Amino acid sequence: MPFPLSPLCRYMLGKGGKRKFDEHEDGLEGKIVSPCDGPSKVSYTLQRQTIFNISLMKLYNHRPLTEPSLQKTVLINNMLRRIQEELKQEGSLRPMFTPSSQPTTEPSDSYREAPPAFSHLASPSSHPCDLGSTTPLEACLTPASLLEDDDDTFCTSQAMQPTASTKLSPPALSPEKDSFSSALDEIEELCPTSTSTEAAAAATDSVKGTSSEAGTQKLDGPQESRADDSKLMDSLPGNFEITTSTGFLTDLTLDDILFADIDTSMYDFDPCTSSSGTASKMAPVSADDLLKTLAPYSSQPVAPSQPFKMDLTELDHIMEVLVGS
Amino acid sequence: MHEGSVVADIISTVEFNHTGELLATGDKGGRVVIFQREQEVSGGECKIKNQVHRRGEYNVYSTFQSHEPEFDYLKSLEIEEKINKIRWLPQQNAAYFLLSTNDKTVKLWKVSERDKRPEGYNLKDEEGRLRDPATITTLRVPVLRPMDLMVEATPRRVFANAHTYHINSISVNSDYETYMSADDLRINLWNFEITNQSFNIVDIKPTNMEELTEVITAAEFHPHHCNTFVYSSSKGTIRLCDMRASALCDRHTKFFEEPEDPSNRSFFSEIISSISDVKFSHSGRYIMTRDYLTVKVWDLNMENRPIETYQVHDYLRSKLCSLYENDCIFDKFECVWNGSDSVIMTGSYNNFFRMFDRNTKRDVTLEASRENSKPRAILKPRKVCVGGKRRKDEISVDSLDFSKKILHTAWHPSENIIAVAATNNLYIFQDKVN
Repeated sequence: MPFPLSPLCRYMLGKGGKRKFDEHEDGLEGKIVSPCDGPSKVSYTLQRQTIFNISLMKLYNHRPLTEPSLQKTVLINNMLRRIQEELKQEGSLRPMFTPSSQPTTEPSDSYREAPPAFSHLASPSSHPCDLGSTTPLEACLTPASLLEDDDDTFCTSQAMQPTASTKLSPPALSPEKDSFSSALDEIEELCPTSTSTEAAAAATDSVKGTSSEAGTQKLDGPQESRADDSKLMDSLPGNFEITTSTGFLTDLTLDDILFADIDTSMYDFDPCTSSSGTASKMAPVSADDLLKTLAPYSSQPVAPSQPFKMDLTELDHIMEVLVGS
Repeated sequence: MHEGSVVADIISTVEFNHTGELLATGDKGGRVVIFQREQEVSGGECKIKNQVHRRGEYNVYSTFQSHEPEFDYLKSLEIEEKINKIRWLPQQNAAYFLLSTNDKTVKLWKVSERDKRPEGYNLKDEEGRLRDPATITTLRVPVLRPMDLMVEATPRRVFANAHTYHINSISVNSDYETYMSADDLRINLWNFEITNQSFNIVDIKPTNMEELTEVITAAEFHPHHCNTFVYSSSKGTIRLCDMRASALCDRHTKFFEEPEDPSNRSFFSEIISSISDVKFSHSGRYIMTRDYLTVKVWDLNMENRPIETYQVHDYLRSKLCSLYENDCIFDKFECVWNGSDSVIMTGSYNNFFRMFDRNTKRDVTLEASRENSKPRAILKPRKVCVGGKRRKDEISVDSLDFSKKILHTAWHPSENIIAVAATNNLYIFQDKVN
């Protein structure tokens, strides 16, 4: 059965694995790892990232002729929220071990410095940016072909180009919530009630407003994106594996050193999430499971090095675009 | 087993009536096709050759267009004409009545036979043209003369504009005067006679839609107690409500939920726990729920866990990520009881369907397909191989066809006759020993 999304899935897999591995394993920077190597935590993060991206794609790449299923939307949104919560807790967990007085909100401060082009999507209660968060990375690593391919509507109809819409959400932990809530507001406001013709008219206007706003965002995108993205590179920590700005690489190295002495058993999720009680508890998924999950539904066997070869060429290409060469 | 199949649009619902004489199907194109069981003929009375010892096949009785596609101009979205559910009313006179619904509108249809027609009108001639009164010199009384049997379906009531969200269930009350319709967030109670008004009995819509995390997935009235109904949710819970307690049944009388199994926890735990169908047993003592991987039987007197859990296709547990990606994880499978509540049945992928005997604890996997079913052939049990060596007749998990899903099945109320909808084919199987 053909699954057009599978190759994209593996592509994202490769990304997450490499970065995460670099952060946690001292001395292994630059080593190419595959999803089947490494500790189970790496695979868990990989799968979580994959699912997060799939969920975003489902919410935003679908332009149905009929109203989308509310049940499906709610379940996908719950999935995103859960992952968000986990990432948030991961983000708040790490600074516990930082001897420096760097506040946990430092990443989120830089979050707020996101360029104005995207600020309307930033949630007022911004989440602390997880150093390991890969979502903004996905948002910014738009293949160049997509930068010119912007649709007018916020929800693109092209299933194969998820990053076209996620590009709008570099503070990625919140905007899917905003978009979801605005989508729900849309449903809510546009539902013909017994009284409100004017409410419906107002709602139609607001929907038009949103989509045109998003549309102009997208149209501005290609021109501004290069400048914006480089700004984003500076402001969002840990979002780029390859970055010309050395500031965050230094920070990451420092973190690696700091964490090297810490007992990594604390990174097992169960004790942490159970104490918090809010995030859902998810058992780490083994790498085999992850591979097994994806392998049968792709036409090619998943070779460990393949995703990363793709990554490197893609990254080079994207870097060229972003740097503006 | 005897098999008959009809090619149509994708079938979206299947339902026997209360006697089992009629079988209704609804499809994606908004059509309803009703099959009627032949009277069984014995040798001496058969008029058509090859029908000696015929077992009572189902033949097309009536076909009509129940719903048409509509366009919601406010949202610029189409309203699908797909029939989500059909429910029969018990027969009270010569005509048959059924409810059919799409996402937004419920309709009551009357299906009646006409085998006589009046002839000899005074003011009209035989073709129905008006006669010039000046030419009429005598008066006569019209008489009814036999004609070829005609089955007509007429819409008797249209219950519209009561649902903001998509209707997923309708259920006729045991008082036969009211019925309920449930959408994602609300359940409405209707009187059959009144179409411009309904009572809202459940509303789980939050004030702030951003806080929405749970929707209603199915609802059904108790088969005997007209005040009791249940509804299931996307979080795997079932609520039983008593309409006598209050007008708005937002507070449940009973709350059924099974605690999560920590060893099976995954990213997809919530999604696979979402209940796609809930059915009371004929006795009214149990409810059966279907979630993505299992069927569960609950005793109404025990809320903290089901009394029985049956694995439908547990081999999919390791494939959930892919099934999430291709949306199969959102497929809504239905489940049915047999007449005596001893066997339950539900569908799966690859045109497989499963039956579980609650008494013997035995289960069987069968396949509904043209290639494997010939008239009077016995259905061969199928097996899915989950790993290791695959035996000759087994099929491996990776070879399953996920586009061939059996979501809708029905069981005759008293006999061992089942109807299985496989995409756009309807299969009717009978027990060979009856």
